[in-house]
Amino acid sequence: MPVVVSDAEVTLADVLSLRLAVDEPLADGAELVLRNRATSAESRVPLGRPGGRPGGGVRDAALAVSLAPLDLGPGRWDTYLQQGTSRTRLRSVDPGFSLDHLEAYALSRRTLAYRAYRTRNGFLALKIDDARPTAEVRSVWFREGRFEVTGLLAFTGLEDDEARHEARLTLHRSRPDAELSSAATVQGVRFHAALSLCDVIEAAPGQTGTWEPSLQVRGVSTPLRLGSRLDDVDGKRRRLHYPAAQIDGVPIRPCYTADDELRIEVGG
Amino acid sequence: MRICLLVPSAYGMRGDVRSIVNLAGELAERHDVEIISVRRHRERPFFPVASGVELSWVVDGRPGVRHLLPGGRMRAEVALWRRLRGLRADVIISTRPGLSVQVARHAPRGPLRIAREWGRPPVPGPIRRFYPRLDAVVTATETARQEWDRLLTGGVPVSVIPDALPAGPWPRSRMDNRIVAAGGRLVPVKAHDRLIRAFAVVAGKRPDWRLRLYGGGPEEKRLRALVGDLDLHNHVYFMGTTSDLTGEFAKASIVATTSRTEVLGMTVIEAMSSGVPVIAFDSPRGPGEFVADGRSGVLVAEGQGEIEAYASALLTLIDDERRRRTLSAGALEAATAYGASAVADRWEKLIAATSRPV
Repeated sequence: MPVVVSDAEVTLADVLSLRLAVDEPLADGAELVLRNRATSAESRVPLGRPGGRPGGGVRDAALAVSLAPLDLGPGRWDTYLQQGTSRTRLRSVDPGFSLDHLEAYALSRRTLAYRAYRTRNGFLALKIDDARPTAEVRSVWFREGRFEVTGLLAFTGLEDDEARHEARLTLHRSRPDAELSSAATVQGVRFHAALSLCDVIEAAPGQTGTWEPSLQVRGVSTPLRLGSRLDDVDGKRRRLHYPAAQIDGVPIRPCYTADDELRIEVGG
Repeated sequence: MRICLLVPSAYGMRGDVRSIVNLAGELAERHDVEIISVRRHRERPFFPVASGVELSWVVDGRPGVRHLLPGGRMRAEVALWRRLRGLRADVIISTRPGLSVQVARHAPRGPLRIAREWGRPPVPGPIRRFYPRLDAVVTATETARQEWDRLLTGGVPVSVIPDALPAGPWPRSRMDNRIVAAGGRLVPVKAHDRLIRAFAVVAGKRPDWRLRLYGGGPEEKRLRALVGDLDLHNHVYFMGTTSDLTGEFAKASIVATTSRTEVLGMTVIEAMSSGVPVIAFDSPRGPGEFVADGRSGVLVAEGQGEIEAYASALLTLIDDERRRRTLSAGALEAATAYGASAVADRWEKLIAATSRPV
């Protein structure tokens, strides 16, 4: 029996909301099965009597599954519909998320971030990540001898309002250890920070290496790492190439790590 | 019925490969279908081939494979000749004129021999000489049909059957992401530089919109340099290749194509199947073959000031969500003609009509 998900979204309250197009009404005792792709661990959710409306030949079924009580761990979870002995993997025509919704979702403080998505083969799946407070990078510039970065704070619990928060951008490197920082602007959850590139060169003269930026914001207990994870684009290191600047003949280039954290590479 | 589809390579990442793989998958529901790839240069095909379709190759071009004959054309031609001589099938559909000429010369006379063509006829000599031995020529567009008809002057019936989309359900865009997507190999004919230059105008006025380029190719380095020169490094994503272009298009609100010619138009058809309007240049043999201006997309005139005109068309559509949604509905409607089952039906009818009485 073909079952196609026509709408899928994880709501702000971590409820997986689905609309299914099915040929026949779901049987009593139908279950939604979530299966971890790496460990094959399964979680079963009885669906009860789904809401919805019968349509011309095809029936709509609306489902809402609260994810937090299921105790799912981080990873990718495939979705199946179990009816009696038959198990059907859920096909999806919906991308499963919108970028604006992901931004709104990241406004709350969370421990796990859930995202529904459509796999390359056309099935519905869930991606679950640890949600640490981070500074999500939107733009990076080398302008007028400065490194500038803008973005928004994710999973910090701060309100998206006009309130200003005291903040500092810190660059840190090891071997040899060095650190420098400058004041940053945080308004609501939007941030803007800038640092002189000459200061970066002078902080470790003649040394090549990688600087790790972080943002300290008053009201947020831990320093926020700068990264770009609040979308569906993994592997930004090869997808986004930032231009390099030359300061006193030394090349400086912002780039991403394999897990999409921002770094500043000096030399080499 | 046993149907053989002969292609230069079923392992690559091209629109014609996508189209043939989609058609084979649908025909395999009712027939024995084999895709014969003249070359095999990787372990597995880039686009997944349906389980019911048999896939074979003539020359194994993977690194490290030992061969009896020296490399180059000779090896391929001898191997193809041997394969064609012994081919057992009811229908042979060959793609590209080079292969169709070989089929006309060497394949047995029993099966129906059909040439599948996309572009303009190349060197006319061998085509005029050998194509009359074929049973039919099938083009993907009406313009191509007229060109082939003129060349063959009635020697072989020429008909039109569009390329096939995969069997549904197709992913569908919500039209709520501020993303312009473009798909296709990064090669000069696709003219992605025109798109990047036009997007520079858009990014200046609507900085929250992003451009995602899907595909890879020799132009990538030059295009990345152009993106750097235009300060678009935050706005243009080089997404690499994907086997699920329709799924990626479904995350976008607009699909842009700036090709000089769009002989195949698979990306345009795929965009429409995701319900995303297409903005393209109205060039001869271009996407205008597939997009109806104002109904399923927007066509921009080529010529002086084309970049500004294209940017202006993008901005107009970006600012007019209602029009985007109207065009989206039109695109979805237009895409139904390219559904795998509709296209396979037309092939079956053509085969039945062309069949010689026994």
